[in-house]
Amino acid sequence: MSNQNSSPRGLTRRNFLKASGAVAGASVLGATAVSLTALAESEPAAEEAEGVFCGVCRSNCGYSCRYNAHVREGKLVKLEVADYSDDDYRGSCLKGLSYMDRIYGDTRIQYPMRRVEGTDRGAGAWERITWDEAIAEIADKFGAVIDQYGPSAVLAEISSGNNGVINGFQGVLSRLAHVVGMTQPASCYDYATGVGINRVLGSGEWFFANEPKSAQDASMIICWGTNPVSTMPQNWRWMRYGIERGAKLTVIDPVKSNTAHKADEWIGIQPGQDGYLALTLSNWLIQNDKVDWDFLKNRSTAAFLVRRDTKTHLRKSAYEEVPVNPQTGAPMDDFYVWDQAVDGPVLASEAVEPVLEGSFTTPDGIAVDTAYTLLKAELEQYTIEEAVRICGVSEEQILSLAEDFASQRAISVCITYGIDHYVNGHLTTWAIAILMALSGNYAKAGAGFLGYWLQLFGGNMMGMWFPEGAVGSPSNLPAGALYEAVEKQEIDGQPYPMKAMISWNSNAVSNFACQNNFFDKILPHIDFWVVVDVEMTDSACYADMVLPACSWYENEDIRVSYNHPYTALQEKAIEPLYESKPDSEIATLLGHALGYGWAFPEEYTFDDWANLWLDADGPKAIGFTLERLRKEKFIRTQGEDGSTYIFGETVPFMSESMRAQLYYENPAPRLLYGQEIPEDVDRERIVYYRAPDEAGADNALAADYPMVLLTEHNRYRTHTQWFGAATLREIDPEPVARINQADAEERNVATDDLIEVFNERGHCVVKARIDGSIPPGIVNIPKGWQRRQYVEGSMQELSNPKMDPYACAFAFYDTRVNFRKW
Amino acid sequence: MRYGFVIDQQRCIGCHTCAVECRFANSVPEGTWWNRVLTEDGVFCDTCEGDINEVSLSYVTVACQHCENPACTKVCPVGATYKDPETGIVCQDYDKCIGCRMCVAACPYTGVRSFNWEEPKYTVGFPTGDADAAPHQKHVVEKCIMCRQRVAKGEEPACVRVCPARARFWGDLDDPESEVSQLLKKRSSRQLLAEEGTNPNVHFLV
Amino acid sequence: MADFSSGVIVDDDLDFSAAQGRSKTREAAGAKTAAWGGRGLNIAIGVSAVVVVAGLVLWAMQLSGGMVQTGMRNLNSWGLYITSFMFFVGLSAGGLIISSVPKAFGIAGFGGISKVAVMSSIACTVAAIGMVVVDLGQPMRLWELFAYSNLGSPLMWDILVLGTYLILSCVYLWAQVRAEAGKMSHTALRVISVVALVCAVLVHSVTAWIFGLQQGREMWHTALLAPWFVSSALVCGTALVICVAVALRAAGYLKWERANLVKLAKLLGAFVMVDLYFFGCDLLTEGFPAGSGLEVVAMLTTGPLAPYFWVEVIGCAVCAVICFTPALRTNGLLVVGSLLAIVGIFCKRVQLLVGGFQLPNLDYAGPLTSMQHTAWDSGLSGIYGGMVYWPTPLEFGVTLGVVALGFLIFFLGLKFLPLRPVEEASPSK
Repeated sequence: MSNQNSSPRGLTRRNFLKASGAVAGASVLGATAVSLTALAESEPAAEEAEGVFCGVCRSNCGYSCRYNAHVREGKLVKLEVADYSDDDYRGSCLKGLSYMDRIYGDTRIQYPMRRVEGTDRGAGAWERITWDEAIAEIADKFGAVIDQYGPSAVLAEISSGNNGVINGFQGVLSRLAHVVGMTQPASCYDYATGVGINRVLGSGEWFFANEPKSAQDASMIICWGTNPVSTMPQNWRWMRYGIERGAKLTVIDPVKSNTAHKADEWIGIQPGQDGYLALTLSNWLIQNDKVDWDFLKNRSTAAFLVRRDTKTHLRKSAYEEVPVNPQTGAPMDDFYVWDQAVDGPVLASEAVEPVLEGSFTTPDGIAVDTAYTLLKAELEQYTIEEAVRICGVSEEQILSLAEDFASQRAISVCITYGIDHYVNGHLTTWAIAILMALSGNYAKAGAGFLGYWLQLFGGNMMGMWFPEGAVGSPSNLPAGALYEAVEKQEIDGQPYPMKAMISWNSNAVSNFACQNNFFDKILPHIDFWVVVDVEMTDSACYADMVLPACSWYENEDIRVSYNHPYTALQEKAIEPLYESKPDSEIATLLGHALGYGWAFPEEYTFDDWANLWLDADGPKAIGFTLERLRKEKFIRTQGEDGSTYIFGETVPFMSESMRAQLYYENPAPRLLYGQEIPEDVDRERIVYYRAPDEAGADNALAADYPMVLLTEHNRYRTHTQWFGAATLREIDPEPVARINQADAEERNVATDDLIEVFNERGHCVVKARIDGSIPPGIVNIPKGWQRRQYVEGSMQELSNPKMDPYACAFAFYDTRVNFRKW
Repeated sequence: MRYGFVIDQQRCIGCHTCAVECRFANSVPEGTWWNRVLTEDGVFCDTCEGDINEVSLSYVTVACQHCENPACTKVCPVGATYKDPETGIVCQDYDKCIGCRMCVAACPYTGVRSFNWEEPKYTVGFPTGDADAAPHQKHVVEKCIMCRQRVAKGEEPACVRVCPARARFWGDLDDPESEVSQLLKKRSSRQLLAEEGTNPNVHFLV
Repeated sequence: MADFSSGVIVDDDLDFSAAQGRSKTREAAGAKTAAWGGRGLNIAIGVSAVVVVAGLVLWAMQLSGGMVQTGMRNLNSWGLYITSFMFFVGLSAGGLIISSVPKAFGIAGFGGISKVAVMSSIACTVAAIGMVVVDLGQPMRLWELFAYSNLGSPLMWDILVLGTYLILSCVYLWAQVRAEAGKMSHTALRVISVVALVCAVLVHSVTAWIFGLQQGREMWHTALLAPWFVSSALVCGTALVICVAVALRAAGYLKWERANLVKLAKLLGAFVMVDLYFFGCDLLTEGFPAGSGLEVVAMLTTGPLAPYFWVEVIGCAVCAVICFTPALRTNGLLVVGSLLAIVGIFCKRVQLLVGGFQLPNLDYAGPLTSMQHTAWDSGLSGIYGGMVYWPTPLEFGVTLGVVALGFLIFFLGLKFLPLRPVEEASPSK
């Protein structure tokens, strides 16, 4: 299949036609066909000149569609959707197809450029320089900073703009950061979802989801704060198949999203209050004896005993020495449950009849409760009456949803990062994960989470990033804490100079919350900022130097996919345009100039880097070699065709007990960087509700800023990528603020009027668009526009920079604003 | 042989992928769309008016309807637009077109036919797409030609294969066994502006 | 709007001038004391020629820079050129019909204006053909019309009929001259005049069918359109003949019985009434079922096209009053009435053309680009909220050039052809 559908490198169009001649010959098109075929034959020159190269989209959109790149006269002329072995995974979208606009468009960074001496950052005055000059200047300036303050004073600011394993964010440039020992701020995008779910499933931040095709086995699909119709069409395909097979679709979203318009039911919840709804539903399941007792007993920690004294589980280690797992180094410390058979504590692995609910005292006098008991007690406060008030949802809708959780065979909850973008985001997803556990919607066909399904397959990241002698990042300061740290030049109360910065695969100015902080708190303290990018992003605009990176089709790379089970090859389809270079080459140049040439052998080609990455157990176990990849173009690296990965079934839950945890024994922040952590750690052990930071209706800010700002992701961009793609701009030409008619009328605003959306952090001026899908109280400005595309300001000036100390994640939607006619 | 499209409006998510694919595959000039994704009852793409509990969004992708009884071919004074008897495709001969725009006026499907009001420009700066697609010309009328160059080689039109929602089907409507005929048999469908009597070969499953 | 009507109609059609502005127009037309073939006519010819050349330059600009310089786009793909085409086809009718009807039916004519009337028809026909040519994207491919004729296309019919009409008009003019010189039998002239008359009626019907046979546009798709085009043609054609006759009489080019003028005025009044009657029938038919046709009625009476609708209705009504009221039939008022009728019919053409595009069949929201409409960035409401089409200066310029071509031909006819009535022909050179 793979051979048939992907042409070997350099196969010309003409040969390709011959190869598929059987198809053409079999067509019964009569005279027209003959004449058109004859026409094709009559232009042999053009035909001969067309090369077909395989490519893979890798923008971190949550998918990785393959395209065949057709090249004529050295130019990329066509991206044609290409196959995977499971044809239902063949995907493409308007962005992937219009990537050509980004390669050839006027947003492209063509040459190394230096900000003209004496002009302001962001003023747009650039001076073209040679690569030699650029590298020399960077070496000079970074070198001076390193000499004076040490390598940690150079920030390596990296994000997910390119998912290639060699020339993307996981690639050779990261090696540079680790070898030098630059401070690499930890990403804060989209982490709250995983932090919350991890508390139940132990899945880390990224491994909780089922393979998206599992959606077709669901009896009910809930899109909770996510809009796959617009943002993840390849995953939506499976959901649609599920619906066609009878699944019910419910969408929980403050706005009537494009997905909500396709749904059987739309629950228009108040922004940031989803956690309360989930807890109320959980309470209802318990109160009405509708929990899944089998699941709770066999797959959850419901029966595990929690000590009242230490607030931890009663474990084997309380009574005896426990062995250590030789592989992980962690103690193998079993949990006690109360066994009805003996009416006493028995290790979970040995218990015959564990009691799920109850409070006991062990023979040695330790007072314990079962995890379920504690959860039940906590949940009692979440009443439907209060949920109606807080969530703004009718009792009827809540009850209907509760009945679904009680009765549906298998519920898939599609969860990405809508509910994640509040300061209470991890509490919300924690609550949903608990609800799924109580209703037994894990570890069976069609049940569990959909969203970002990441493969377990991976290459030799350690070898890529940490050659012997590499220092690594000396701090795990989250990007969201960068403002304060750079402004004060300290981390955790200790002086920590940060004087220079290099960014790649990232557009932090446009993507970090509270954009003005970037200008006011970071840039004044950074003496020299280099941005490596393909296009002139907001970040590049404000840099001191920009370096032109290759587009995806200008060098080779490998992409381990999200949301489908393959790893695919990117062939070099065209020569790098202008003076652009592959990331790996830029890293090598910089490495040598900075004195770390030993980590970047000059003779290293793509093959060497790729082989280094492939030098790991995962690839070896399945016979994954570069040679094979080049022949087959893509390799299935997770499961087999026909299988469906279900978390908790295909692989066990990843918690220590390998069960769904109703009690979160050891609360720990995702990152520790000296943040203030609330004294009451116990609060984090049992799921609870906390109002959003700004978005709640009861919030004090609501008087002055009655609107909540949602900055939805739409079809036309992935974060900020494709902001300047000319074809897409014909469909979606400019930023607009989508608002409700009542809010507009109150402010005497009509569609197409310019409005200023503002709060104390900043403002932006955009066209208003009255939209029937937007409820009162919400301003929705789709994400991804660059500053120069607004009339004034930027949406990102408005967003709330606050982070929860545990989740350490940006909370873009937890933002109150107001607007007025401009 | 009567080639036609069947488009499942239930599945269509209005993502514009088919439109963008059409754009590049046929090297359609900047500003011109042979295939457009329209939001029914909307004032802008993906935008509706009214009470939030009442409003709904649905999409209809509109390109040449390749009518059985086309209004355009009758009025063209030089036969530059004509119905290919073999395939049923309503074709467009740029070399013949005198640019009178009779066909634009005649076609009931607003916006389907485009005139190149200037020398064709391309978003990437050069023509793209199929090598055997006819080059575009200034001051002639063009429109969806059902990727005739591909159909001639036994391939599907470009917009079909790219659809991420798998909402587009193409085939011979005269063949009762074809996928498109089967779909029309099983599902209820409609044609755009059926009252105009043009009998489009594009059917929408509703 | 004022520019629209004054610029095209009042100045140019009736004051025998070209584009050089009102004062020059008056000067040219007012040079009545000049001898025929003398300075006044020469200036008029010169001015017309200059405007024609200017128009040609603008047309060359349009072809090289692209029709993107016009106000037309995909959603309003025809404009001032086709409006003017309809209008000039209509104007061309009058002269020929006025001239041929008496001869064809062997009844008393309207005095000695027969040849001048035919000359005005020829000039208007040339202008009409010119309008189609400047509207074409690929005028160099005009030859294809004859090589690849699709005889099923109403445009093809029109081109054939219009060509025939032009040739017939010339033949008819030549025949009159020959007949006057006694070199042709009156029977032969009568035959030619019958053929010319049939052709004139056909020309209008076929032009109407370009629009009327298009099922896709609510505004156009009516069986009434062909007879209505004929009646409108009679209105503005007769009005033009009245204006020309009065002007030439005043200029001393010909002497003419006042009785003939009254006859023509009565005729004009009758034609106007018929035309208004057709309009009433059409509005009632459109509006009565209260279906989609009601949108058309609303668009005309209260919508974006209302000014054109009311100017037409009121102008024509006033014209009828002037024509039917003996006391009002002064030379001046008759010219005013005729001008009102001509302006009214032009407004009718604007309504018809723009109205065809004003109501889209598919008004769903989609991507809007500069190729679809000049106001693409103001959304569907911006595009359809006002008049869906307005010409650019270039279009006005090119149109003026074509109009000037008509004048040039007419003036050249006056100068070089024996168009004055034979019995009165007295050399004034």
